[in-house]
Amino acid sequence: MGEMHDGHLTEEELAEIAAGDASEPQLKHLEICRECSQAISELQLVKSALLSIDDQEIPRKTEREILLLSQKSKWEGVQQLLLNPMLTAFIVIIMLVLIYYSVITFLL
Amino acid sequence: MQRRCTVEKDKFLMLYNRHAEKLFNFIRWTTADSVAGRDILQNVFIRVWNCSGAPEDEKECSRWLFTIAKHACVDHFRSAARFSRFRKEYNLETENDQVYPEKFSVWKEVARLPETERSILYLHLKIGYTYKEIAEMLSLNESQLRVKAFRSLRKLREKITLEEHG
Repeated sequence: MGEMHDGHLTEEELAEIAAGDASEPQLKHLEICRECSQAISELQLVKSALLSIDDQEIPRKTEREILLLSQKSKWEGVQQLLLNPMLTAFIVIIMLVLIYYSVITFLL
Repeated sequence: MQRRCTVEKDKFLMLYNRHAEKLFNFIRWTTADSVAGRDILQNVFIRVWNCSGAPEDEKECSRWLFTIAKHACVDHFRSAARFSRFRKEYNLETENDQVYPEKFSVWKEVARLPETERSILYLHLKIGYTYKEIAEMLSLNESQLRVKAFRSLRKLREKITLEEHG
């Protein structure tokens, strides 16, 4: 056990015990020191009070929006590609070249 | 710009079903704001969908998601800094007393703690992470984190009437 503060456990030691990492000497001290053991049991009650706060459900609207995301995003990717001016220009040029060669081939 | 997406739809849905509610509540505890929590949760899943891959290991995956959520909360605090005070007050006065009428006093005190302390308490008490794991996730020193959690519990002890919960 580390240094005592006024004959009681230090803040770090109480934190260790509250976290469930109590050492043997610390546990022995708790057995004989009413003040320290009371401090720990009060903290356990605070923990219980915190655990009693229920988790909240995700609102339906938020859930729908998130689940839609997995579908929407794929289309967004395609849209982004099509909206890219360089790529669009490239596709237009390729199409024009293909049309030109198709017309030439057809005429010859 | 082309988007890299290696989180497939099935994996994405599985991640949502398994972790979304816990993440939502973690965000809600961290921000003390359910309304902002909805937007942040969406941002988390946008990041998940756009990421280059989720960890295969379940525990690792859970930690990864909470870390993303933590970063999303930090971004939220940065972008909404000037509204934070208003939101906090709005929260305490209107939202939570309707959601938790009988536990309002506890939640009200929790909401008054600094956000890092709320995150630590949620991850430790509600999710069950050890302080070591939380320290890794939040990039904090483990012993400092332990003392921080202890101090926040003690602060709450001073404010909460324990008889009704004992």
